[in-house]
Amino acid sequence: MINLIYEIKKIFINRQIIWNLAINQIKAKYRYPVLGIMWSMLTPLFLSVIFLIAFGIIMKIKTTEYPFLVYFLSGMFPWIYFSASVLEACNSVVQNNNLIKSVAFYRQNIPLSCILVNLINFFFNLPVLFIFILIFKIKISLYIILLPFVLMLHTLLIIGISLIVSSLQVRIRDTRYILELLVNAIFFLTPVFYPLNMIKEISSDFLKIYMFNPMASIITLYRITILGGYTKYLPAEISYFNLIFLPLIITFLLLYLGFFIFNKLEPSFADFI
Amino acid sequence: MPILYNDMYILELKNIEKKFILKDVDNPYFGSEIYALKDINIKVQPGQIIGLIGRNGSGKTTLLNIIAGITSPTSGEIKINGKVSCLISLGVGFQNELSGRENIYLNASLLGMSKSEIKNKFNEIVKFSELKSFLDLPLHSYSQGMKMRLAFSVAINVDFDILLIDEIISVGDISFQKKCFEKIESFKKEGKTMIVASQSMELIERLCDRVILLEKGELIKYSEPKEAIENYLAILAEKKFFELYPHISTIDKIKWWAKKEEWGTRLGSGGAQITNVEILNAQDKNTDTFNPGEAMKVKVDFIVKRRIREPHFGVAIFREDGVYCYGPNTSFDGYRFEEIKEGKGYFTITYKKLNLMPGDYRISVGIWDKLENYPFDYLPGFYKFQIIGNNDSNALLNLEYKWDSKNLDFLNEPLDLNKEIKKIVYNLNEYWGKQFGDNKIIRRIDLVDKKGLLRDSFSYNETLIVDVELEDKVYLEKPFFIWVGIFRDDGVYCHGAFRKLAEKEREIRIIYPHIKLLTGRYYISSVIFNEGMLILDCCHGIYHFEIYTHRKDHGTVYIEHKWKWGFDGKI
Repeated sequence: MINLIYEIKKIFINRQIIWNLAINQIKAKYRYPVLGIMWSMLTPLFLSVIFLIAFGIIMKIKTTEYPFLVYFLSGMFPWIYFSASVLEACNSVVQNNNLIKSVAFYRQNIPLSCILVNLINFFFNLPVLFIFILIFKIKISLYIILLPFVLMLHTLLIIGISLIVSSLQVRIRDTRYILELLVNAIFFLTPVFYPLNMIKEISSDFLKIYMFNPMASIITLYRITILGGYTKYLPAEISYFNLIFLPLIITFLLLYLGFFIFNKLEPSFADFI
Repeated sequence: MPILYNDMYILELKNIEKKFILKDVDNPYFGSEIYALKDINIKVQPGQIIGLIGRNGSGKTTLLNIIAGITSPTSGEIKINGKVSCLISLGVGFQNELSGRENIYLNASLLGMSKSEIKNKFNEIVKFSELKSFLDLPLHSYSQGMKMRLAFSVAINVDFDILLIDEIISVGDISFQKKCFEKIESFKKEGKTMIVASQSMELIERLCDRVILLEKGELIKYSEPKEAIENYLAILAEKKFFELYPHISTIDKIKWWAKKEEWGTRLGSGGAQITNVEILNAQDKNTDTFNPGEAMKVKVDFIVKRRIREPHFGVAIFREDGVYCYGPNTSFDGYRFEEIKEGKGYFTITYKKLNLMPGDYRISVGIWDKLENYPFDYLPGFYKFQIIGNNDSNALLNLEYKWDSKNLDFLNEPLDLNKEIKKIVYNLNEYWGKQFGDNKIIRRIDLVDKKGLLRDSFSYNETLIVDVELEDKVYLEKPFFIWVGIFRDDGVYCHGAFRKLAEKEREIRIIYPHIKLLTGRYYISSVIFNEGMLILDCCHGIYHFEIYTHRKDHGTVYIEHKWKWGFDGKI
């Protein structure tokens, strides 16, 4: 049986190693490029320009009263954190086979450090968003004090999924490809570049099913906490249950499952890579 | 001083077993389980230094890995009272882009040291490594030796109750090695527990209180060093090895069958008599010269004089110097004849492709009884044939292989060194079991399977991949070449391949897609040489692998064949 509190304690004990692994990944990644860590801001910026042209200008998606760029980035940055973490973590255990094969340590550190790298990246992205919020003179919501809780929920979700896929990848090397497909599909089922009302216009029943995607509610929560007055654009069908408790339940289920699968497969990692 | 425990053992292994499942890729029904460790029971008292000896692939590293917690046993119980630290592989998590200082922190934290511990021991680590002036340079500017020194210094400064050491004390130059030994001796004086795997019997005898001897995953001895070492040396001496394990290799049998002195002497009880033997080519024409890879058919006519019970037919190919190439018989192939009555008969064997190298060969033909104890008629080495072509190096087999290399155009150019290769092969004999000289160029040779897993036993027809890794920091005058050869464990040169090396090439891979060798032990050797056929480095008789097959055929290589027969007096 998996005791979540015990597992989280273990993560806390191992925080130094996770931090070291993550920092060194970042250092190794950005030491030589001239622009260094700036790339972690530039990449999403260029990406958003592309999306701005594609969806904002060509397809003219109406994103409530907020400028497309702000609306888009407030969803895109959390999305990048999610997708990059999950995809990198998936490969991480297999990639770090030399670590697995030569030293006994808390193996969860490996996917967790990948997540931490992307979390740090996310922190570098957030100022970009706030600069745009200032430029477009958008009020910042009072709910912003709740941002850490949203971030925590988001991170726990990522940890759960990462633990599942990274340990499965050791046994089934197709996991990575299936995950890539899924992540791409879920991107379009998440209100990153279109408003939730667009889904409601299709059918309100569909919206209810749609909200079972925890990323949909988490990105909505991000918008509520960052963009002032966003709540009034929420479709009436969306309740607190949809927005908070549903992702909370799913996240803890996935987290539980993640630790369960990872702990089950971990002892034989060294035999399969 | 070690902490006192309730029970007096610091380490207890109970019925430890580790099983790997090997699957034949082409034939999924022919998978075999291999026990890396079988029924290991060991108790270690605090303060003891335990030696771990055994041949390559005997399970030493697996055992250390299990104690270290890197992998878990398939079954069994481990009790450890204390913290285990290991010097199994050095430089865990080293990153070339980071500085020496950063790598110390990363490496040490992976080995389980906390930040404050690292800070406390940092100066000691740096002092031990003698790398103070290089600390802030990125790791890729370090030489291989410096990296290992840094790694060793970190590893040795980790606190532990049990230290596992796996043949890595040969780090750095002589003065550094001396320092490492002193450190280990000082651990011994402090009363720490250590498990040391090594091939150096001298070291084991000097250092250890007790010694574990592993062979094929089984615990042969757990005793005083002297006794275990003697036992090990006996295992190494091939003859005694086969006495202990008659099932392991058929090569000793091969030697018996290949008694050259018997050639030309007809044996047999006379129950049946071979009247005529014909060697035919694919067009059914009588010939005694073949091209490499051609088909060959041997047709044997015989008369049965008295009815014979459960006979089987055999045809064997030998090389002119007595090396047994291949000897299948009808019983190995699963055919059974209850009884043959008086009358005439014939049998033929058709070899689809003679995968032997050019040279002179002999054929033995026989009709044997059920258990191969006595022949009804046996004509050893009576018939000759020749495979034409050049084979100056005297290799035995024409194995399928290819070099795995990325866009090296020059590989397509023919290299005419065939004649010269023999100089290398003949010069190798004196280096058996050793690496040539001080100038180490070949770092190691890995044998891996299709999936990239390191292996030292392969099943028949599996893919064998040989990775030769060269040292990074060695510069060779060009052009230079590499030769990779396979030897049978009695020193018969089976197969060799060579090619030019590209500049700065460090990892050379050769793939044998279907290794058709028969059961036994084989050695992989590799030589780096220059245009003048001067050996720069050689690794000969060090790396070995074993082939396991379900076939019982005698010989060295499997040659695809088909039997046919006909008698007038069959029951």
